[in-house]
Amino acid sequence: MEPIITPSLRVGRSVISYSFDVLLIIACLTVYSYVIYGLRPVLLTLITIGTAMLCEAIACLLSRRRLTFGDGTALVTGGLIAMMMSPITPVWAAMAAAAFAIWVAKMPFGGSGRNIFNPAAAGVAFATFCFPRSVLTYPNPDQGLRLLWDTTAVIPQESVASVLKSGGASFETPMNMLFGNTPGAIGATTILVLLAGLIYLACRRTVSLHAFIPYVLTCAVIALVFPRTGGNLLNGVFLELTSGLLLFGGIFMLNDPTTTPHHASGRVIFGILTGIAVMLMRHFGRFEDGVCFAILLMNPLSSVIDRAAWQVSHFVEKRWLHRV
Amino acid sequence: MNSAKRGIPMLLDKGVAAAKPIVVLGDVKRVYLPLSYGDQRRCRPVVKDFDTVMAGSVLAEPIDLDDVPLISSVTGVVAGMSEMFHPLYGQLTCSAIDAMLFESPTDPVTPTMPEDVDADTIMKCCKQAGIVDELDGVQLHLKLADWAATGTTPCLIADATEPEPFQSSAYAVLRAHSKPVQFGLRLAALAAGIPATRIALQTSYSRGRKLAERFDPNDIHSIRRRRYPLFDKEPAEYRGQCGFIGVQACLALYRAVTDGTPQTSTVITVTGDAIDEPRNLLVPFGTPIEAALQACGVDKTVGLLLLGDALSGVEITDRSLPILPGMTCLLAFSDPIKKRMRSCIGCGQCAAVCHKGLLPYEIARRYENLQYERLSALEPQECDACAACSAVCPAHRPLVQTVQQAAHSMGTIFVDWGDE
Repeated sequence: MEPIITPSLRVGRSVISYSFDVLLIIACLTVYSYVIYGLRPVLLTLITIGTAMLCEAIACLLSRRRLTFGDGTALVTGGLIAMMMSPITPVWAAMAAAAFAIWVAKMPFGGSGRNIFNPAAAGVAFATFCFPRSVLTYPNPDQGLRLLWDTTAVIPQESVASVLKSGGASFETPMNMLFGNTPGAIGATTILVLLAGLIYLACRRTVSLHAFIPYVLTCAVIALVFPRTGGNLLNGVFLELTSGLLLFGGIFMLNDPTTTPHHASGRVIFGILTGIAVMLMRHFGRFEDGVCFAILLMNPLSSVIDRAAWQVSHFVEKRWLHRV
Repeated sequence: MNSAKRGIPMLLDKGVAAAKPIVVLGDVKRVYLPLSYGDQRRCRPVVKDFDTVMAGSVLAEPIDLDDVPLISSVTGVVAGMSEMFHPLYGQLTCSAIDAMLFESPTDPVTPTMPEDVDADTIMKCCKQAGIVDELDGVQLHLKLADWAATGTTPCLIADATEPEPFQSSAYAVLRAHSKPVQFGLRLAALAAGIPATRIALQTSYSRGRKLAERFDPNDIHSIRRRRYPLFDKEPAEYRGQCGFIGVQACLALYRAVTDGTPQTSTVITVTGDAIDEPRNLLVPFGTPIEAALQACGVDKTVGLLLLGDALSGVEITDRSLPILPGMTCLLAFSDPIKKRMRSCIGCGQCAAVCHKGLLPYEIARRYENLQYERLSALEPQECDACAACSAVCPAHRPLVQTVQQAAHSMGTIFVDWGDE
C-alpha cells in the first residue's frame, strides 16, 4: 500500500496566465495595426478569435466534452491566425483558417495539450495553400485602409518576402522594416513590437529563448552563406530575418508548449532544424514564406527530439554527478 | 545541468506554532494502539479486555523477534479491539485503551552524556523502548543494526531541516531539548559504530540561526539553501554516504538509555488556517486526530485535513485515526484549495523543477496511455516524491502521485487494479 500524495500548495502559474500573456502581445499588435491600417484588422482579429471559439464549442458539444474555453488556447489560436493574415484578407478566408485549425489540427487529436501540429500554423498553411491570392496580397501601409468590407479598390503591393522570393532587390529601409511600414501580415511586420513582446514573454518565463535564438542564428547564417538578394550582405540578412513570418513564427509558434520539445537541449536542436527548414522552404518552396510549413514539418519530430535530448543529458548528468 | 537551481522557492510559514513552546495534551480520553502495521509488524496481545495497564508497560509481544513490542502510551483500562483503515499504514488492528493518566516524559535539569555504555546496551535499550524513527517510520534499532553491519557510514545526521512550509516539530523538540537530542544522536552513532555526528538545521531564517548558536559549530550542518527540496542535507565531505535519524528518535534514545523510559509520545505540529491556536503538541501515541484538533481549537468547517505537510501530505477525512510514530504534522485548512485539473499543456515546468532530472509529464503520459513497457527508459523509480512537480504544474495535475504509481507498475503490461 503506497501513500497517496495530495499536493495542496500551488506555487506555479495557471494555464490561463500563459494564454493571457500571449493574448496581451496579440492585443498590442492589433492596436498597432489599427494605427497603420484602421479598423479592418481589428475586426478581422475579433472575428477570427470568435470563429475559433465557436468551432471549439461545436467540437466540444459534438464530442460531449466539457467546454474547454477556460484555458484560453482557442483565443490564442484565433488571435495568432489573424495576426498572420493580410489586412485585406477576406473574412471568410480567415474564418476558414480558424475552423481548419480547430477542427482538423486541434480537436481530433484530443484538444489542447494533445495536439501534434500547431493549430495556428496549420490554419494559416491551409489558407495559404487554398487561397494564396487572398492571404498573400497586401495593401500599402502608407495609404491606410478606409474600406471595411469591400477591398477590391485596394492596390496590392508586393511584400519584402515576395520580392526576395522573386530574386529582386528590396529597397525598404531598416526603419520601415522595424516600424512595420512595409506591406505584410497584420501582426508580423512590426518588428519592434514583436521584439518588445518577446522580451516581455521571456521575462514572464512564458517563452524560453532556447529554441528562438538557435532558430534566428541558423536563419541568419544560411542567409549569409546563400544570399537571395544582391548588394550588401548584412542588409540581405536583415531583410531575411525581418521579412515574412520568420520572427513572428519564432516567437509564438516555436514556443508553443504543446507542439515543441520541453527539454532545453531538445529545444536548441528543434530551433536549428526549424531554421534550416524555413530557409529551405524560402529557397525552394512554392510560396514566398514557408515558416508555417516548416513548423508543421518539425512538429511531429518534437517528441522524438525531446526524448533523445533528455536521454543524452540525463546520462551525462548522472555520470557527472557520480564523478562529483 | 546545474541542479542547484532546480526545485521551487521555499514557502516557509512556520510562524506561530514554531514560536510557542511545546504544549502537552493531557486529557486524552481514549487511545488506539495498533497491534499490526499493515504487513510491516505484527504483535500478539498479552493483555485482556478490562485489564489495567500502566504507561510504558508491554501491551503486545512481537511475533517476529526482531520487532519492537507494543507499549502502552497511557495508564488506563483496555477497552477492546477496533479495526480501521489508515491511509499511510493500511489496515490496522488497534487495541483501544480508556486513558486515565498520561504523563509527559521528563529530562534531568542538567542532562549529561551517559558514561560506560556500550553499543550492545544501547541497542537493547532502543529495542525495549520501542523507538520508531519519525523520519521514515522504521524501527530505530533496525536502522542502527543496518549501519553497524555495513560499517561504511561516515557520519550520522539528526535531520531537523523541515523544508516544507508548516512543520516545525523537529525544530520545537530541538529547541526544548537541545542537549538530550545531541547526546541521543551520539548514543545512536556509538551503537551504529559511526564516527561523526551532525545536526542538520536550516539557517536561512533567523529562528534557525538562533537555534544553531546553541551548539558547537562543528556539531551543526547548517543549510542556507532557500529552495525546496533540500538535497544538500549532507556535509560536502560525506556526500552521498550519511545516515539520517529523526530528532525525536534521538531524544527517545537518550531517555531510553538514561532511565529506561520507552517511547510513548510524539510531538506533532497542528496548524493551518482552520486552527485557532497553531502549536506543537506533545501527544501520547494512539491519540485520535480529533482530540489533537480540539486541543488546538479547531474551526467547525475544515475543508481539507492533511496528514503530513502541505507538499507531501496525505488528505484524510476520518478524524478518529490515531496519531502513530512517524506522524509529525497535521494541517487543517478551511478552504479545500482544489482547482480544476486540466490536460497537460506541455509547458515543461515539472521537468525544469525536478531535482532528479526526470520528465514527469512524459512519465505521466506513458503511464496514462498504459505504455508500461516504455516507462523504464524514463527511470520513474528515481523519484523521491518531493512533489515539487505537482506544486508548479499550471494544469494542477497530481504528477507526483502518477509518477509514484508509474514507478510501481514498471515493466508490467497488466493494469494496476490497486487492490494490493
